Formats: sequence, structure tokens, C-alpha cells
Amino acid sequence: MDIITVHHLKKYFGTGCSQVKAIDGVSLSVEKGKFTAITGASGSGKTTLLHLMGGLHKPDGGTVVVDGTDLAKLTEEQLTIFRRRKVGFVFQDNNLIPELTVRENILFPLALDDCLPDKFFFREVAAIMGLKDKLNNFPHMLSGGGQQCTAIARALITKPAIILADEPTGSFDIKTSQNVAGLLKMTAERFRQTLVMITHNLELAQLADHVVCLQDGRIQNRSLPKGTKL
Amino acid sequence: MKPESFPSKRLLFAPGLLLLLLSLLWKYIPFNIMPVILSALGAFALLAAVLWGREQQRQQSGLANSICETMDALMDGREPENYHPYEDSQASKVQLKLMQFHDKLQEDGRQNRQDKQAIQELVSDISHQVKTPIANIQMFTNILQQHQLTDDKRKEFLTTMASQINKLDFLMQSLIKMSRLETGTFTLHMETGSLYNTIAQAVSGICPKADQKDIQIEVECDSRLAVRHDPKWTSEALGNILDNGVKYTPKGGKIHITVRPWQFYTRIDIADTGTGIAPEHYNDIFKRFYRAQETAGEEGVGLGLYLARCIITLQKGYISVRSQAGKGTVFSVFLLN
Amino acid sequence: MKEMLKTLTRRTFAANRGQNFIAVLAIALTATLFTSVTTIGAGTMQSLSLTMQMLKLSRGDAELHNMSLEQFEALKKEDFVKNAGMRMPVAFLSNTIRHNVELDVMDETEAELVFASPTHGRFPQAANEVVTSDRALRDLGAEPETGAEITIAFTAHGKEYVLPMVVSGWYESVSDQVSYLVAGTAFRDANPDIFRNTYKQDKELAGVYFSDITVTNTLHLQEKLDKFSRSQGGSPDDMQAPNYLPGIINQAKNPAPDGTTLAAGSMFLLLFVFCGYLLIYNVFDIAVMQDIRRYGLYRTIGMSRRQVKELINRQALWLTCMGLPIGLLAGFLVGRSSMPVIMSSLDTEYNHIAVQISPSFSIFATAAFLTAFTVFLSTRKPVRTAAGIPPAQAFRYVETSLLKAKKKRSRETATIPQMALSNLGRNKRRSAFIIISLMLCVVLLNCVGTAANSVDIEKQVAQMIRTDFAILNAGSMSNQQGFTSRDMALSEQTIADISSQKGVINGTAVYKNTLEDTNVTYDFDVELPISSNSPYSGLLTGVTENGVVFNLGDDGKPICNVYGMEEASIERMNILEGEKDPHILYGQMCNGEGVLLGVKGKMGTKAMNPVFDLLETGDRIAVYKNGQQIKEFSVLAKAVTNGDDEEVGYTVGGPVRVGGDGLFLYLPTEIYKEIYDEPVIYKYSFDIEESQRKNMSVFLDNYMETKDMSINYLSADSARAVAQTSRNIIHFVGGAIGLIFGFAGILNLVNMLITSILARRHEFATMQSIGMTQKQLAQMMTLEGLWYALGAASLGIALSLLLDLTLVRSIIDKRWNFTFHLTLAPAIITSIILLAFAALVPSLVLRQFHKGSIVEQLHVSEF
Repeated sequence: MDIITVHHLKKYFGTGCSQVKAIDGVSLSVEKGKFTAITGASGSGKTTLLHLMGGLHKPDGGTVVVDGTDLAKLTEEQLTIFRRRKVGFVFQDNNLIPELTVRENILFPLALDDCLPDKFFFREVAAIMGLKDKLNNFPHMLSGGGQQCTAIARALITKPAIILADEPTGSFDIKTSQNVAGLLKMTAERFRQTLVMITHNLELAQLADHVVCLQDGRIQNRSLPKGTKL
Repeated sequence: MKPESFPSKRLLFAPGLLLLLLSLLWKYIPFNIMPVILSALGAFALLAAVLWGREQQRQQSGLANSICETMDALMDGREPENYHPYEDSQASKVQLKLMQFHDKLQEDGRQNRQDKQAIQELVSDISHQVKTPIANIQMFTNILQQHQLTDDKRKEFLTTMASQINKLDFLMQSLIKMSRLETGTFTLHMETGSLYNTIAQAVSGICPKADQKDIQIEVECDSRLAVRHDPKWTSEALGNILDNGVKYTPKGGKIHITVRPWQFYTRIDIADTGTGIAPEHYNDIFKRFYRAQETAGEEGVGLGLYLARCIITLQKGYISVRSQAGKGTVFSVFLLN
Repeated sequence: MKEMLKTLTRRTFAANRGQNFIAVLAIALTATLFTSVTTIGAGTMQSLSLTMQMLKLSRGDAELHNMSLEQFEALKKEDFVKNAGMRMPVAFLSNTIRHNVELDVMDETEAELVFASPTHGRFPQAANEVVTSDRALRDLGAEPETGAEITIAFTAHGKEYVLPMVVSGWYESVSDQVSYLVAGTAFRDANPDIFRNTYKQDKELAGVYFSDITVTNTLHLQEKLDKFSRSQGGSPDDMQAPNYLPGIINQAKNPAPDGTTLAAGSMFLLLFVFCGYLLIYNVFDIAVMQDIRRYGLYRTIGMSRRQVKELINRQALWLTCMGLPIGLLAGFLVGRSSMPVIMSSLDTEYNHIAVQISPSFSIFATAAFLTAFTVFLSTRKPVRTAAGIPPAQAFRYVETSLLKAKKKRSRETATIPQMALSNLGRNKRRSAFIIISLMLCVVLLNCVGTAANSVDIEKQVAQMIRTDFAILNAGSMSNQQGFTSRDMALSEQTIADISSQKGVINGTAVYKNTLEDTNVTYDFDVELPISSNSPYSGLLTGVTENGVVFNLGDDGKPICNVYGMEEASIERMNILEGEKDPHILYGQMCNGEGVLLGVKGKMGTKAMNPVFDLLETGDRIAVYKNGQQIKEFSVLAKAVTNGDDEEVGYTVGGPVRVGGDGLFLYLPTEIYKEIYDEPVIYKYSFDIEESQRKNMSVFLDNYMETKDMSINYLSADSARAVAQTSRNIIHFVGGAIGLIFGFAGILNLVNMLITSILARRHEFATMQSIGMTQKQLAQMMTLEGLWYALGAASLGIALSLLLDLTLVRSIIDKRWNFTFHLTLAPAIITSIILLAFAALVPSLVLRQFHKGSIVEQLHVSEF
């Protein structure tokens, strides 16, 4: 069962001779509950593809269907709520709100939706992410890994169907990268979320069930899903 | 879904604003029109209150109705008709949660079916794997029964048979482990214990084989390091990886085990100086009964790494692999602290 | 949600202290602007109103006359009446010398309303007790103290009364001319004869009830008053009717709305709103642009547009809540401290101005509302920008959009000034705003400077006074009164005392006719087709087609303003037509051959105003006395008059009340004395030796205080001072406005530079990493600031020149007391100051905000 279906997706930036074809006819589907890694050289359109999947961009051609909803048919306001409820974002630079504590940062998306947090779930997530004792700290008091864990917790807290991670370990050393990527994978499996992660680290990509390799806005090859017999 | 909202709140603003104006401009308002203004204000407020109350009621019943409607549809296995997951309304929020719940149930069902299928596959795998040794044993038994053989010959056949039985035993052991892992019918005994001991146990199991091939095993591990894990199964998993390493490392090679405690994970690197694995096979090696073509000569059934991965994953850890052809392979086991 | 937004707002607020400080400053400045303006406006209005009320001796909303007791009781019960005071006028005392004292029976409410409440002692209770003013008491020969005994004489119902009274209390007089002598109701009860109501028969006022009222609501007040009058069987309009019962609105308290004032006020308001907009818009725009990444992040996580708007609005609300009180307080203080300066300019017109200013709710409410409105207005656009930006774009927001980058001709080398200049173009709108607000400061200050520079003080002095000193009755110095009766004449004693002072030269006395001289009239060849009543003196008037008003005497012929002068006085006048030699003219006049005719000049010029130029030389004027023609003059010469020829300074109260606009006739003293029964001196003019000038002023001030309290004087020096104040006012008001704009501009500049430094830290760090020194960086930023100031200065000077030569000139040319004098000094000085600021600020800002090593900077900006 596919939760994200991308069909002949196109996204161009700029016009005329300076036009950049960031995504040029990509079709792929992401299986529900699986971990898909997107790899490729920088400038290959990875981030744009992820943004398109998360409804941050409007495509110039093709469709993005997430859980049965064609994103092109949503209004700006609906897209916002779509992001709020369906998608959790984790970025390379964690993008926490420096003025809010770790707890507040994690609960922020829920507050946006005027929801009361699921206390048990919050505790569990905080425990997994090793943030139990740091909930009242401000982000700058945490290590880079700790900040990224907060960001992951923030993405998880709304129990979104999809986690979109854009090089969540990009700015870390190999040790922290493994840590963070492992946590992401583990929680995604634990909470049965679909995880799409951009990475240029092949070692991390092998954690994934599928690997999609982008080159110049096109899919280069796609490894077979795990469990397929040769 | 949202019941069309009547601006009754705004209706309440009007008398409020008017009252405010009234108090500010008190001096300039002719007194004889005061009763009219006041009664109009009263009427306005009354109307607004009534409308507000009614709207509240309608909103509530609207919410309840929409929830019921969605549930009915889901129970019937239909797609709910008025499914608006991305509206900024209470109904939409509840609807989405319901759908999430529904999905979870569906997913659970699917998982069940998948498990059943896995068992079926397992049975067929087992039968497939068991077939050869049993056929061999049958064949040798027949030969021994039907032919008069020299003692030497008989001894030779019996030895061969014993090795087949050993293989069968090994297979059975593996299969039992695998089946228990796959079907989740076994329990991990997680305890915070010394990782050093666990590794030592795994190494001691592989030492004879390594000695045979003159492979040196080095362990770099703080003996005080305590990690929460299941010692028995973890040593089994590590043993399997070591076994794999010994198998593909040529004589006189080296296996180096390094343990490094990290923030969330404890990383155990098992580096060999073997033939290496091509990157495109990184994912394949952990598959059931996968055997690399170039290593066809080696004995084995292709379950070791599969089992190792299962065991580690069940402990919320993971395994990754890095390799350089001809130079060796590094398996990294990450155990959640 | 609300909780989280609140927390976020609070914490963000604390984090952005620098930014917020500027925003609060901007809002506070705007609030200061509005509050000071409303305070000054309201204060001026209040003070003028109170002064007028004092002159009118009533602070009620309206007064009703000629009521019977029943009618008065009915009035008290009327719905629209809040308070009704009771006043029963009896008569003016006949035994006073100079001060007019009116005997009235009042209740305490009324006494309060007519400024006659005793401030010392108590309200009269016994029949022989009275309360009156200090001035009245002195005039009656008693000292102002409780228990003093006085005798009062008056006539009522044709009978003369002389009564001994005891002073139970007194108050400080608010009017030079009139005071109430207040008796209690016991006096009425003890003297029923005086208070017989015979108004319907003989129009005798003693016995009728007057009432000053305050009302609940002034809307449609006149109609309510008329309705009441009619309902009581009275006639509100017909003065002659026996049942005349008028209700008169106190215009001093409830002035009719004035269109031009409103228009000017709203123009000013608009200007200030614009200034505030310039200020606050930029601050918020910059703040939002700085935080655009943050809003992008919020949007990505799932914050809706509405929530972003709410967030920024909440922030704006917080800032307003902080800036507003500061601004209100500061504005009130500024307003209050500048009030006296502004009031002093009005002092020439209103003799005893009462400066009144209180921190009223409405001032603050208006200012707060205006500020809030400006904040609202200025935040709309930034809020929309922040909410409208697509999340992914905001996320990697760079202020200059790459898509719009035009291809520029690239030069071989990039010099620092060029780089600085090209930086200006980054945000055109913002640069324009800053340059405009700086430029406005230059232009406004220069316009003001030009206007102030064009104030022609000597022209004004010449208009006001021809000699060094002029002594007159105090009433003549007020437009509200003027020289109207023989009582106001200068005494021989006073003139003798003054003329005997050292250094007095060319002392001349001037005689003038009064309202008591209506028996002398003049007949000449001017058509007076329109007739009406003079609003000032109640006389019948004849009016020419052009609206020149002649007050008519007993026989229905014009009274004219007639002056008796000595030769020296005639010599000082500006004779334009006819016999121009004053000596020959004076001789002819003394021979009874004719008169010198004064014609009002066009204000401030030495040309006759054609509207008032009605007779030619040689025309004949017949003099009538008590209906008989006694003389006939011909117009021997015509002179253009100025303020001194008519009355003194700018006041024309006397001539307007006596003769009206028409015919100023100047006669030799001898002839004047022949014609008029009791010739009185109204003015004594003299020059003074330079060395005695100071002494004279001191002497006169002292003399006014101690010897003759009825007089006042105008000197050329004080006239000069008056003229100077009008220049000061222009300096003050215009300077303040210019200063505020300048401050706004500099604040904008600082803010802009801070932002630009913060936003370009990475760029700077890059430049530094490739070898730009901190000094060069500072140089670049300084140049950038200088470019702004230079743009503002050059535009400002050009625009100043343009506006000065067109708008300012056209306004100034219409005003007689200005002579256009172009000056660019204010613009240049302001420009230099701005340039200095612009050169200084960047390096200071840079030092403050661009700290740390290059690596740190590079790192910071990456985050």
C-alpha cells in the first residue's frame, strides 16, 4: 500500500535561460510504514522533492498524492493543516525555536492545532529521545544531537503518518549521525510511520527499505525493496 | 462539514460597541431617544444570545453527527463521504484521528496476515532445506542396509552420514531460532550486564574455527561497560557475524572487535580482512538464505546474518555494514543503551 | 494555542530587546507627537474658552433672561437643565468711580457660575451682607477684607436707594471692567419694593429672574431653550415684546464649530499620522524581514497565516502597550511645558489669559486612539508580507529576490563608495522611506525657517505704535472692550504725572468721542442702504453695499470715530492726498476749514484700502449736534491710518463700538472741544530720550500698580516683543515638528543600518575573510549612511527652495506682517547635522553589532 504517490512531478525555478529544472519528471511511490531514503549529489533536487511531498512547494507539473489526497487540490490554508496533522518535518539544521523550552518546542505543533498533548505518548517520545531530564532546558543548552532529537520529537508528537527528514544528520559527525538516524528509523518503525529521509551518506541509506537515487532531477535507479527474492 | 456559521458573535459586538459609544458620547445624546436605543440594544443582545445558543447546539450536534457518520462509513468499509481531513475545524480533527485509528486496525490485520504468510514461507523453506540432508541420509542408510561393505567403506559412509545429521541438527537449531524470532514466540531477557562477557562468549564459540584458519581475533572493549541487552541472544548474533567473518577471511587474516559507547547506542564494530561485499549487496546479505555467488564454495545455509539482524532489531538496535572489496568488511552493531 | 502564542510572544520579545527598544521608541515617539499636539490643542481651546468665559462672566452653558418666579421654577424642573442658578439683577451702582459694579441677588449656584463665589469669607446670609470683588471694593473705597463696611447707591423702579452694607466675603476680580455685587435672598425678602416684577409694563429689570444654566447635553440646545421660552408664554426672539424671554447660548463655552479650524486640524493630524507611519512602518517592516526565516519555520511546522498574523499583531500590541504610556506621559509633559509659550502669543489679543490645562481623559484617549490607529495602519503591510510568504521560500529567504536581479553594467573595479551605493538599492521602498523622512525634516525646518525669517518685526511695530510710548485706559488694550465711555478717559493727574517724568518729549494727548457722544453726528455723501444692529454696542447701524459699517447716533446719522489731536500727532500721520504739509494743514483745520480724513490701510501697507476709501478731498461733511447742523467741513487731506491712529496696537475695540468702520475724522483739539460736550482724553503718546527708556517702563509699571490702576500702556519695545513672539511661535512649533521628523528619520536610519548589518553578517564576514579590514567595512557602512543623508539633503534643499519660492511665498505674501526673505540656512544646517549623524551612526552600530572573530561571524550567519 502506497502512502505517497508521485507522478511525473516537475518543479522548475526561474525562467528563461536561467531556468533550473529542480525536479524533472519524477515518479515514485512510497510504501506505507517503510523507510525510504533519497540520495543524490547536492543540487540533484532531493530537498525540492521532499518539499513537494510535504506541500511546501506547488509543483509545476505532475501530481503528489498523499494518503489519497492530491496536494494540488488543497488551498494554502488546507496545506498548512495538512502539514500540521499529516507530516512531521525534520531538517538539517534543527530549526528549533530558541525562545521556547524543549518541552514547549516539542508541543508547539499540537498547540498550533489547539490540541491537548497525549501525555503518555509525550513521555514515551521524550524517554526514547533521551530528553527526559532536559525538558525544561532551552535548545541552546543542548548538544547538536540533543537538539536534533528535540526536532524529531517535535515531528513525532502529532503522530503524523509521514516523517519527512531532510538530511537530519547532515551537520553532524558520523557518531551523532548514526545515533540520530537510528533513532529516526527506530521510532518510525515503532509508531508505524512512513519515513522519507534525504541523506548523502550511503552507510545511513542502508538502514532504509528503499533507496531512491536522484540525479539532475531524475531518478537514477531504485533498489528493490527488502524481502524480494532474487 | 462545518455547519455554516452565523455571525452571532459579531452580532454581540454591535450592542457592545454601541454601548461604548453611548457612554463616550453621553453628553451629546438627546435623552428622549434613549429608551429606543436601550430597547434596541436589549433586543440585539437577546437575539445574539439566542442565536449564539442555537449555533452552539448546532455545532455540537454537527460534530457528533459527523463523527457518527464517519464511523458508520468505516465500519462498512466505505470511504467516508464528507472526509475533510485538512480543515481547521473540530470535526475535521476528530475525523482525522478516527481515520488514523482505522488505519491502525487495518495495519494490525495486515500484519497478522503477513505473519501467517511468513510462517507458511518458513515451513516451505524448512522443508526445502531439510530435504537434501534427509535425502542423503536416506541414501546412505539404503546403501548401508542393502550393500555389504567393507568396514572402511562403512566407516566412511557413517562419517558422511554423521556430518549430514550434524548439518540437519544445525539447520534445525537455526530454524527453530528463526521461527521463534519470526513469529515472536520467544522473549528477550533484557538485563543490564557486561557487554565484555557477551562478546567473550561469542568469541569463545568461534575460536576453534578461527584457530583452524589461523585467524587472529582481537577484542577492544572496556570490561566495565554495561549495556542493557539479552546476553544469550546477543552473543548468538555476534557469534553469527563472527562466524561469517571467519568464513570469508582467508588464512592468516585478522578480526578486530571494537566497542565504543555512544550517546544513545553502543557501537560494536566487527572488522575482518576478508573478501569484502559489493555495495549493491549491502541489503541482500541480511536476507534469508542469501548466499553470495562467489562464496558458493563455502558451507553454510545463509541464515547467520539474517538471524543476527533479527536479534539486534528486536533489541531496538540495528546493524550496518561497510566494505571495501578485497580489503575487508566492517559490521557495525548498534545496541540501544 | 493562546497559551503557547503568549509564551512565544513573551520570550521572543525578551530576546529581541534591541529591535523592540527601537519599536517602542518609535511608538512612544508617535504617541508623544499625538499627545503633545492634542494637549496643546485642547489646552489652547480650554484656555481660550475659559478666558472668554471670564470676560463674559459666565461659565454656564446658556443663560435665560426676564423670567418670573414661576417661570424660573419651571426652568429648574426642565429635563435638559442640570443646574440652574438664580440671579435677580437690580442695577449698576451709581457711587462707583471707574469700575462697573452690578448689584444682584444670587444663589450660590449662580455665584459659582458667574465667577462671583467668595474665595475669602462666606456667602451673604443676612439682608445687609454682600460679596463682591477686590476691585469693586477698592473702587468703593474699602479694602478687600471680610467685615468691611460699604455704602451702595443705585436706582431701581425710578427710586434712588443708598444702603449701608457689610462685606461677608470677597473674590479676586476676573474682569477689569465689571464686577458683581452679590446679595443673598435675605436682601430680596427685606426689600420687596425693589423686587416688584414690572417688566411687562416698563421693562424694569429689577424684579425679574435671570438664570445661568448648565445642561445635561448641549445638542440642539438653542431649540430646547426656545421651546422652553415658548412653553412659558415667552417670546424668545422679539426684543421689543413685553414677554421677551430669551435663552442665549454661552458662545464662550459652547463655540459654534469652525470649518477652517477643523480642516487645518485634520491636515495637521494627517501629517502626524504620516510621520508616525513612516516611523513605525519601517521599524515593523525591518523587524518582520529579520524574522522572516522564523515565520517560514512556523509555517512549515503548520502555523497558518492567521496564526502568524495573530503572532505579529500580538507583538505589536505588546509594543504598543509599552510605548504608549511612555509616549502619553512624555507628550503630556511636552505639551504642558510648551503651553505657556503658545499662550503668550495669544496674550496680545486677550488681556488676562488663563492658562488651563489638565490631564483629561479625552486628551489621552484621543492620542492613544490615534497612536493605536497609526500602529495598526503601519503594521498591515509587514504583517501581510510575513503571513503571505510561502514557507519553503521564507525558509531560505534572502532579502533581494534573485529572480528580479537585473543585469547591471559591471565596472572594471568595485570601489567601496560604489559598493555602498549599490547597497542602497537593495530595498527601494525602505530606502525611499528613510530618505523621505529625513528629507521632510530638512524641508519642514527650512519652510519654518523661511517663514520665521520673513516675520517683519519693524513693520509690525510701525503698525502698532508711532511713538515710543502710548498710555491708555486698560480697556482700550483689549479687543473685547475698547475705549467706549468717558469713564475710561485718562485723568489730568495721570497725564501730568507722566509728562513730568525725565526725558519725555513730544507728549501729545488725543481726544476721542465715546458712546456717550451719540448726539454729535455727521452727514456726508455715502449711501447706507442696509441697516442692522451693531453686535458690539447695540446701536443701530447703516451699512454700505461693500459692508462698511457706520454706527448711527440719536438722529440716525453716523457718529463716526472723531479724534482731537495736536499738531505733533497730525505730523506723525501718513498723509497721502490733499494738503500734505502737516503744519499748513493744521493751520487750515484750526481755521475751521475742514478735517483730515483717515482711511484704513490695507493691513500693513501704506496704501489705502479702497473699500474704506469713500470720500474724495474736497467733499463736504456736515456736523450735526442734537439734530441741528452746527458746522460744515471739507475734506482737506486724506491719510492712511494704522493701529496707533485708530486705537493702539492691534486693538480696534473702541472704534468698532463707537463709530464702526466708518469715517475716521481727525480734528485739532480746539475744534474738537468746540463740538463735543465733555471732551475726554483717551490716549497720551510720547517719545522718550533713549537713556530714559528703561526707567520709563519701570515707572509706568509701578504707576499702574499703585497710582492709577485703570491705565495700561504700549511701548515700541513691548510691540517689538509681541512681534518677536510670533516669530518665536513659528520657530517653536515648526522646529518641534521638524525635530520630530528628523528624529524619526534618524531612528529609521539607525534601525536600517542595524538590520542591514545583522542581515549581512555573513557577507561582511566573507568580505573580511578575503581581506577587507574592519576599518574598510566601517568605511563602507559610513558611506552607505552618508549616501542616505546626501540623498535626503540634496532632495531636501532642492525641495525647500521650490516650496519656499512657491507655497511658502504665496502664504507669506498674503500676510501683511511678513516680508518674504528666502533663506536656505536651516536646510543647510539640518543637512549638515544629518550628514554628521549619518556618518557617525554606522560605525557605532557596527561596533555594537558586528563583534567577534570572522569565523564566529561566519558561523553565526550559517545558523
